[in-house]
Amino acid sequence: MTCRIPPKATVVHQRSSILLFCTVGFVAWASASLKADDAELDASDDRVVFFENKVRPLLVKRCLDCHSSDAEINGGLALDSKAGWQLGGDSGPAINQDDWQKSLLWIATNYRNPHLQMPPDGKLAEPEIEIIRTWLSQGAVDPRVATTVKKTNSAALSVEDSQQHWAYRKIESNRVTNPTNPSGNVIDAFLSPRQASAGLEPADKASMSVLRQRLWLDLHGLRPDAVAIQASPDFNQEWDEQAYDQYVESLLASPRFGERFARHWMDAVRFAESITLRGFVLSDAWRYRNYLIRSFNSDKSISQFFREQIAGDLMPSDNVEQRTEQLTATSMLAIGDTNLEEQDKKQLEMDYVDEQLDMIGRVLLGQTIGCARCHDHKFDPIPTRDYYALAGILKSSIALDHSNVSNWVRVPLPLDSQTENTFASIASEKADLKKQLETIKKRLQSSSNSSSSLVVATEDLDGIVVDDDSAQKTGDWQASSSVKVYVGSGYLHDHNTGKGTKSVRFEPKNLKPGTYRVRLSYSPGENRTNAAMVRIFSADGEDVVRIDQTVKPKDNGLWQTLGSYRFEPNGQATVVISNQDSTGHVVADAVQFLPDAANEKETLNESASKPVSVSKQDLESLRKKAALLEAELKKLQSRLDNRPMVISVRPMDKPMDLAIHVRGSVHQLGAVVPRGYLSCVPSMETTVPIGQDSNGRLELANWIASDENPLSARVYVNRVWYWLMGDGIVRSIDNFGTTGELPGHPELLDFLTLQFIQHGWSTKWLVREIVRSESYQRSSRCSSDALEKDPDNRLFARGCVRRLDAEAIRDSLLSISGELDLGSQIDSVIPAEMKEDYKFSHRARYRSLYGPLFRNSPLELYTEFDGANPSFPISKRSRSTIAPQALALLNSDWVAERASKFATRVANSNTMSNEQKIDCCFLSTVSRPATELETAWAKSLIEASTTRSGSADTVWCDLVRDLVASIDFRFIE
Amino acid sequence: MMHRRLFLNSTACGFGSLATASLLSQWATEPRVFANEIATSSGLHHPAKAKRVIFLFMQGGVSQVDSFDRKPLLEQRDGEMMEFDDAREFANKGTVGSKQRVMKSPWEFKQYGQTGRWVSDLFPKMAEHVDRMALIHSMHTEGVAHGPATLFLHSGSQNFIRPSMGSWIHYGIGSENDNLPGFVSIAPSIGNGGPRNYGSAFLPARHQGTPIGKAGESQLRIDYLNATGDSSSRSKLDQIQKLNRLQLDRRGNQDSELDAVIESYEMAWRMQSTAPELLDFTTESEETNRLYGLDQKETESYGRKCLLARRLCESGVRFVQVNYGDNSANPAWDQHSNLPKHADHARAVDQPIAGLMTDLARRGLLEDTLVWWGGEFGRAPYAQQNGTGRDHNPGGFTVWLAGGGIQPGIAYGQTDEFGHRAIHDKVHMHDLHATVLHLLGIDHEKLTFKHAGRDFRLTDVHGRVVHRIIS
Repeated sequence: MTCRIPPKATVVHQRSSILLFCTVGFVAWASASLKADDAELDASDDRVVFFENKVRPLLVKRCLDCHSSDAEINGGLALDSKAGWQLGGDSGPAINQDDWQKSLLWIATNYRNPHLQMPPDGKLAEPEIEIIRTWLSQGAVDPRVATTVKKTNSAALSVEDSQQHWAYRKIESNRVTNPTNPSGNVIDAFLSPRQASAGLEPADKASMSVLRQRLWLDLHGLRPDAVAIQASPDFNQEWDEQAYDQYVESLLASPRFGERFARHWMDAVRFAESITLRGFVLSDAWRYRNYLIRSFNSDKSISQFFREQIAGDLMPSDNVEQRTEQLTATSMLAIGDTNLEEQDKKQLEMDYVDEQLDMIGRVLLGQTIGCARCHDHKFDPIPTRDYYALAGILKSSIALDHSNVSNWVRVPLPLDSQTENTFASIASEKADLKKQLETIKKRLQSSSNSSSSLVVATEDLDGIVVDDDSAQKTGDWQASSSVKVYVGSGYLHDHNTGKGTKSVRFEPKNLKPGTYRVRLSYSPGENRTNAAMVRIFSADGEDVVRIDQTVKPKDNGLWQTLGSYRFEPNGQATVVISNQDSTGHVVADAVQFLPDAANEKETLNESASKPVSVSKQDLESLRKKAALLEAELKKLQSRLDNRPMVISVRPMDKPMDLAIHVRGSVHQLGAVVPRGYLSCVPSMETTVPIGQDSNGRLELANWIASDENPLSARVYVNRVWYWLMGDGIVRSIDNFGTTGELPGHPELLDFLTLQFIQHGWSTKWLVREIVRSESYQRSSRCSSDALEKDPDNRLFARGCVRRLDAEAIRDSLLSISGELDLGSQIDSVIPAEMKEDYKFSHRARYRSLYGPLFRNSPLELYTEFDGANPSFPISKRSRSTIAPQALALLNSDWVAERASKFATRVANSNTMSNEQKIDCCFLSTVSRPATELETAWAKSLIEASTTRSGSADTVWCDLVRDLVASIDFRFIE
Repeated sequence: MMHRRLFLNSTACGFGSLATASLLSQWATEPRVFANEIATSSGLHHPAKAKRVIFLFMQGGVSQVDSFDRKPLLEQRDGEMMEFDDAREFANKGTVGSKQRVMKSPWEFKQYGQTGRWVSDLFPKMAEHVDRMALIHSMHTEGVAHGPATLFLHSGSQNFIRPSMGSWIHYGIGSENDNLPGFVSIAPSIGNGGPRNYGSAFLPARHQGTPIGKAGESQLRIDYLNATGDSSSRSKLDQIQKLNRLQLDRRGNQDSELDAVIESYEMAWRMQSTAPELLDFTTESEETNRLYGLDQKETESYGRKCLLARRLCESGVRFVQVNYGDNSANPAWDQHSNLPKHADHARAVDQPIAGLMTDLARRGLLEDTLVWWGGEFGRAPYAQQNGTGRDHNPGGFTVWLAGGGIQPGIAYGQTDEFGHRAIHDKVHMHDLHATVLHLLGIDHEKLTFKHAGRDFRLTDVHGRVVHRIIS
């Protein structure tokens, strides 16, 4: 147990160490006698009397409510017996008898460590602390004997017994037998015996119209295109098996397949392109999204897919494309919804790792590893050691660069050698120009030195200038005008006295929101401080700059740039100069806020108004040249900014093992745990121990993606099954632990998993296997008997009703209106320069997964229709049927516009009869022609609507909107 | 219209299982049965003292030593450099004890009411109600920056995605009105966590808070509710329902949740009929408008929000949050560099809140409505960086509670002599959450939801009910 003693506390300790010195002999004696035999304690011993009279009542009054075997044992610590505090709680023994001042009890009651303060509702009174001091310093004599033994949690499955749980057992190929296969399909062969024994009659095969809708939704995430339905030769005909298979193949070969499956995966890995707090835009996240689409479209081995996402940056590669692919995959680790402004950076880093670990555990392994952060898992065989063994692996890569608001890590993507050379030459050109510019600036500066007897009026200056006479002063400041250059009538200095008590606050009036270069002016001199403290308060928080006032300001001898800052409407915009920690005079003259856009202009115009009004021709041309150079540099920089980057993590030079964090606290560390894997998974032939100097992530990736790992492939196969069949074989998709559900058909899951591995972890193989089964093709209509016998459809004797998710509704509406842009290569949809995602208005007409997917500005209908919360790994979206959905479909302008666009086309058709028009509307929305009853309904609607409004556009729009709001649009049989 | 299967589900998996949750319409009142135990016939853990909550959120952090926590020592030691344990310094560098300049309050304090509580000139109108309030001076919380602290205030967690307290409450005890959302956040800010502050996270979506209006916009409206839309005409709705029934019949006997679709349209219709009326203030008297400050430019905006809060409460909404804030990273009360600006914000909220208290009291609503006033943290008693503002202070600040179940006219807990850190009878934000739930008849340790393999609560593994402020 290490406990950080704050520096100030150390001072206290030093002082009291004298005291300790005086009493050392006594303490030594006391502990010696105690060690001899506690039972020998005499009730008349002064220390026992003291305990009974003072200590016991105090403990009862202030501690035992939360720390006794009779009530609660918070933090595992009981203070109701000597054995209790000797054994201690999660942080170790409460009292250190060898060095009482190091006792946790002492530290906690003294309230000097903000992370360890007891009692929690307020510090003990001084006399009470005195009692503790006396008690501890005299050897903590305690005659109380424990009455009850501390209980430990025994509900958990131990690591030793982990093989009792199905999911941790390897899939033994000899245990899984291929059932005799009367119907031709293995899945059906596995499912039908259980259905028969339950007395369930499997439902009929669904109609081809329904199957077409099902396949489109399941494999493409869309409603079938009306044109495609009509164009297809089998329209309204029964398919044979061969035609069905061909249809499936064509759907699998379409790029829409990768989009659909990528969207599923994006739910799981909490994909988004911004961060909730402050709305920061993750401008490179789209690369990862496209990586996912490519991976599913090319049917990449899922083993490879897992490996790349965990450790692509550490994998060897043969060429630039492969390296790019692998590096991009690691964005998975870094796109979580992080709280970048957390000020306790240690805490932030561990919370970040926890988020990664939770995601990896649930998505890839079906394990709730996060539960073991503060204590051993209450149910599963995952001890806290394992948590920190895994956490050490992730912690060995840097995911954040810290500042007030920390930054995520961007890594340059590799380029072909030609492009790489181009960027290199731009960089070197930039370096050249910079050198030239510096030379010119030096010359300019020296010439301005010669003209240092100038006074500049504020109105001559660009941007907003706050002079010292309109600033707010705290403390005693002397006005002066003895040393030029300065702005306005003079400047202030602090007399070089009252250090740490004086400040001047500059606050601009009517500052428009935006980014500004903020500059400070001061008149330099030898008696000035070399470290004036300047604080800038902007939208991004507070920045501190130290200014050396002994040297001339760099810009024309008048201005010193403090930096570029962003200011928000009604947000803070203040510059404070203080004389804190300074030696020498601190000077405060003026502060200038230069709009960023004006920089270039300002540089060009500088000669007109700036202090050096010496109108020498050569000086003028020097200035112009400098301005040109600066403009050129800016251009080069923006070209360099075009270099493709990707969100990732950076392996540390020295990987680290982590200490167990007691109760999850970053401030209470326990034993260091070597990096490693889950110990409940039996060791595999392919497992490689993680070397001292190895980062460990690649080893972890290989461990997860191994054919032998009993969890990864099973979890993935079950996931795909859920995507296609409506529910998992294991219904807790991301929890295969003991608190998850057992598989309804364990043999089927194992058989499919084995086959899946044998087929090279191929997703398309698995999809084919499932959709070709009769089980997939069954109608969702069934007898009430069947409904009664298997209400949850655990035996898959009927098809499930599918609902269009938020994306499918939006994409289908765009498709109906004729606006959907399928694109050929869709990169970033985020407008350049966009820095935050608030109030973003979505205009793109691409499929929903291209978004942009912003955490603060979701797409139309996304929230109402159960879109996945992009801040969590989501394995199963919720299925809600709520009034806001009805309101959205009825009242949303966006929906109305889509309907109206389509309706206008229908209304204006000269070739179609009204019946044909009605069919056309049905076909486009519910993917089938109208039934007789529906046609009658539509006709009466048209009649009523015509009487009401008269306009043909409106009439057909009414019909389309009703259809979009109807059950058959939103739910597929 | 409850399908048999749903009924089975709701009894087998207990309250809160996703299956039941999703199928009933979002805002329906349901019989409340807790997963763990039923303690009273009402379905609550114990008899409730309050039926609903109004939370007046002062975003950015009001300074306690300039409002309700008077510290004469600040005046005496004004300008002196003294050592304080600054929360930001500690979080960043792990150091305690840094030199800071003590800064007195620019406002005068006066005594109010029979209890003679001190309140500064910032809130002279609110001060008239001190005899109704329980002032908690010893609040402390987690998070030094706005984002973390604001999320902690709402969800009990700084860094993780957790349900908002309004969602927890709605999940626990539902709503009293079928036709309205049970949890409303008026004019929420999009910054500092934005929707996460009224989000249901892993709880079913119907427990999500419904925003009415947005910070920085004057209009108070609910998304997709409008008088001209298709939901406004019963005949149009009948048409849709007719088509839905045709399609439902055609499907025959299915294991389906489709009945709920038809019901959701009916609910939408009822909402459409109720909500616009609620947002229409023309029925309010001149006197009431003045009471809330609607006649003054400075107070009109927050006044309208407070008045709406009362109307929502009357209609049976369970949790109403009335936000005073904006969308910037340094919201409203966040006076780092210019403390006097506190006065502008105080003027904007003082009359409206006082008016709300008066109105609730005279209508008898205060008896079973819990009113909670406060920010995500307080402010430091010393000048930030020697300037004229105050930095954040999560270590000690004041909130007040009034109404249902609250002992009127008391002050609970203390900060140190400078008003910096809570020292006596400390109340952590988790404790406040536990207390609010307790007043509503909920045991915070028993209101749980299973997610990612374990049971979650609003108060995590913490929280103690502050019984001494309860009447």
